[in-house]
Amino acid sequence: MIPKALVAASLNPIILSLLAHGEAYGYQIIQRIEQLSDGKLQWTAGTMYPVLHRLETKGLIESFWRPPESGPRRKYYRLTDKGRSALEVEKRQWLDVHALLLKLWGPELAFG
Amino acid sequence: MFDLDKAIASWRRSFRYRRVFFEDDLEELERHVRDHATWLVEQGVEEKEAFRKAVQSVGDFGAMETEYRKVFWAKLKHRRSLLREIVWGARMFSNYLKVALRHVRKHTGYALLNVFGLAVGLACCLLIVFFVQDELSYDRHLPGVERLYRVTLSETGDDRALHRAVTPPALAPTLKREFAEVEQAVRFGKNNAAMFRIKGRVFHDVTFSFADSNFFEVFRLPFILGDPATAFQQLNSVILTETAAKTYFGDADPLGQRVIGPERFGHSELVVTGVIEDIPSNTHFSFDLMLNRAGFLWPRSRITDDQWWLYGEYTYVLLADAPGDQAAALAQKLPILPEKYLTERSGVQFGFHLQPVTRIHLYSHLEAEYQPNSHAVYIYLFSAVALLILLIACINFMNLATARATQRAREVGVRKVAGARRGQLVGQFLSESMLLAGAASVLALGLAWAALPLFNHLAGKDLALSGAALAWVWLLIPGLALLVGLLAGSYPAFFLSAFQPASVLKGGTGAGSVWARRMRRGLVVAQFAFSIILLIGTAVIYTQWRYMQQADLGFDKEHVVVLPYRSIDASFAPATIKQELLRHPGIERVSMSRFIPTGVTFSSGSPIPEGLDYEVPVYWRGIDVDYPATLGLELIEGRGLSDRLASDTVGERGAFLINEAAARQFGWTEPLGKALLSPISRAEMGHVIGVVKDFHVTSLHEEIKPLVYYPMERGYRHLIARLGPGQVPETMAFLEEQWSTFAPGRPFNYFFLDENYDALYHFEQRLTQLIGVFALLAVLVACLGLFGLAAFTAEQRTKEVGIRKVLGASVAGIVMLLSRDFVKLVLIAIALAAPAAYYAWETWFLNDFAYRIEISWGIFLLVGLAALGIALATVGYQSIKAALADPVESLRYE
Repeated sequence: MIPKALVAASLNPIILSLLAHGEAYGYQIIQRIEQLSDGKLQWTAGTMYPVLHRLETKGLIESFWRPPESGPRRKYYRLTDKGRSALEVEKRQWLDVHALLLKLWGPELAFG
Repeated sequence: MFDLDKAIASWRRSFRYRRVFFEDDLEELERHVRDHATWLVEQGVEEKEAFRKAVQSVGDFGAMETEYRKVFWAKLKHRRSLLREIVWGARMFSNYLKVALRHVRKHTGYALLNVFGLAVGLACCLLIVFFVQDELSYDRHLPGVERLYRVTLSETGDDRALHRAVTPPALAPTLKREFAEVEQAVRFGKNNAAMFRIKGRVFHDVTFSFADSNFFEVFRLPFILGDPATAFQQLNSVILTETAAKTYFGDADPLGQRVIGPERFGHSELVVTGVIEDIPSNTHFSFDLMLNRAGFLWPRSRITDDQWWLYGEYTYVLLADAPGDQAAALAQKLPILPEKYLTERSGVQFGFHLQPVTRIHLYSHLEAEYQPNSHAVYIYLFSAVALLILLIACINFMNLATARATQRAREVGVRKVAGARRGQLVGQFLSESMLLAGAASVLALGLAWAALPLFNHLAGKDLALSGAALAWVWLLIPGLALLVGLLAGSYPAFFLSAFQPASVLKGGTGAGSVWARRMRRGLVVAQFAFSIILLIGTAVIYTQWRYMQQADLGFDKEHVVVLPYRSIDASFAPATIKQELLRHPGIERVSMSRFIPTGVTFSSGSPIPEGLDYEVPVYWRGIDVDYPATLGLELIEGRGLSDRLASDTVGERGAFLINEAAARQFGWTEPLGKALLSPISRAEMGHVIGVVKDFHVTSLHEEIKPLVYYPMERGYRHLIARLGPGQVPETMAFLEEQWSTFAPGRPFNYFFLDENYDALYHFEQRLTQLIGVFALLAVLVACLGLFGLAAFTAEQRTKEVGIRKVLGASVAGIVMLLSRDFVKLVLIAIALAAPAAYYAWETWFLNDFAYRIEISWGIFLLVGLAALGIALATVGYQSIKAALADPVESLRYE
């Protein structure tokens, strides 16, 4: 299991990255993340929706209601242009951290 | 059978009163739960279990709410849906109200007690606010009042300190002539009653005033008929008030009607040239008829425009409407006047002073005011009383509400467990107290309206719930409801909402905590202390009033009848009248005089006493031989007037009686035989043959005035008869019969001297009554609270009392047990209130009197016992009820 703090920190980039592949509704997002992380990353709806809503108030994503073929409508989210550029920034930061960690863990790095 | 739709609807309902969830948030969440449940069912999970798991996967309710709240305000801003917030608030409030109403319905007795107590307090406050507002509004309705000033005259020296409201006739023309700051100056006087003939009818005792022709330019009283610019210019003009015009002319047009005044007037044939609106009661002067001064005074040549030594008129100035402080500029120049015109005497300093017209009613207590003025101290007094009563009522409200807390501790616990946040509970309790306060305010308005006639009667006012007062009401009622609701509701609200659900639900009651009990007791003590201060005040004012009434006046005011001598036909000699009246055994003495002890007059001209070289102002009293005996004046030295000595009854070079104050004023240690000299010729006017004991002429607020009695043969104003005790109606019938002989066709207008004298103290009497009434109401309100609290305590201790009884406690013992606490509280209140009351009444009230009582311990004892008695009676009822209860009833469960 991934600790809470890391889950919280990674929420934004994960949601933005997922939505970069196309629009999705909340339940879909949770299911996809669970599948993609092999069940290691489990969000509750109660945590995720407020994050979606915050991103929306910041203008990084936008929402719209769409009725399916049958049953009640669903609320979909998609990335805005502002969100796309925010994602680029975010991506670089995560990659920087990632690169650093790789370097630190790599066998070729020696102290002395 | 499990119904998914129903289960989901019920799950969603639990979010309804959580404002952080928007409607579409819930829709989104519901869709999420449904999607998940459907997926689980597809995986082969049973429907009910699938729903449970789906809901669980959404997350813990509390954590979810916390997350949603974090983003709530940002969402609100983003969606621009503040309206939703307002609707939410209103819905929440309506829910609060619904619960509050339910609560009130369930505890009607408590709610009634609470509302009634508060309403009585608020009603008192409202009445006092009306009263104070009226007192403060004096003269402010006069147009341009900020430029209106009265000029007064002070006279100080080693032997005197006089400050007169009246000024010499030369002042007004001089002010106008010499000072640019003065735009208008007017002389204005009031006269004693006179007889007028109007349309063939005779009106006795018409009071009228006279003033210079520019009076209505200075006091711009609104005209109904006639042209304000020209109406008052003729010498024979008379202006009437609307009511006077109706009285004299009915519906006929009063303009141009003739009014015949006494022949001694300069112009006795007057013509009505204008009618003004009635002068509002909140004006420092009043009149029915206004005569042109020049026309009225014309033949009295002594009163001329260069006369500086006569005081009988008021001088008002209208200052120029120019930039800069005109009043200050004028005040700086006024000292020129005495230097220029009043330098004739040594040892005495004169000073003219400017007095804003708006300050006259509350702050001016000079010699010869137009009418008795009020005191600013009474405004403070009444405001303080209003505040005290409001405090008592609020404390009541708080106490009763916190006492109910025990009953509501469980409710609070359950609400908290169900997820109520503290703010919501505070909102709930504040709404309740505001609902009750609102109801109390409406009731208070009703009470104040109903009590207004009685209040007017007691206060001698003519207040109405209209105009400015009504505006106040619209402002006060919602304001007070809100304020009192918040003030009185805040303590219970914060106190109750702080309960820990775990502890209250376990059975403990938060209200029983030591701190809460102390708080409640402190409030009861405060309440009783305030009531006791008011009660002591009532006792003090009452004692002072009685003291003034029964003070050794130096004359005997009982059984003395006074009749208007001037009504008597001139053909009857005074001796004949006396002889005829004394035939009746019920009449002991008869005298004729120009003044009666209670009449107030200003002296014109002051004599020079032997041994001094300057004039001393005194009050002159023209009397006949029988006057001292008829009024029972106490002679200390010398003798009274005697009809055997011719010199006694001749006005010139006669004999005088003086009072002790005059002897002091003249600096005489042995006054007998001393002479008084004329200020003009320096010739001897007469000598002193007797000294009369001092008595109080005006009210006890003032020092005793120096009096000089001189014998006179004609020109009497009063016929005074001393009646024997008993058979007064019979004697009065005889007097009336005689009156028809001596004064044919004239009304038998008599009055008793003691009533007349008591009238001087009307103000104090009214004050006592008013403060007394308010003090009693304050005690009533405090008792209502005590009653409620006692009921609550008794209820709380029902089981204890039951067990004690089973174990053999006596009824008396239990009553003692239950009352002891309250008695202790009242005793503490007495101990706290006594010194405070002593200080307050000593400094605020009694110091205002020249002749006053000392506050005695008796008063404290009496009031303390009364307070204790009242408290015991209130608590006793509840205690006895509890003590008499059957233990079988009280100990039974369920």
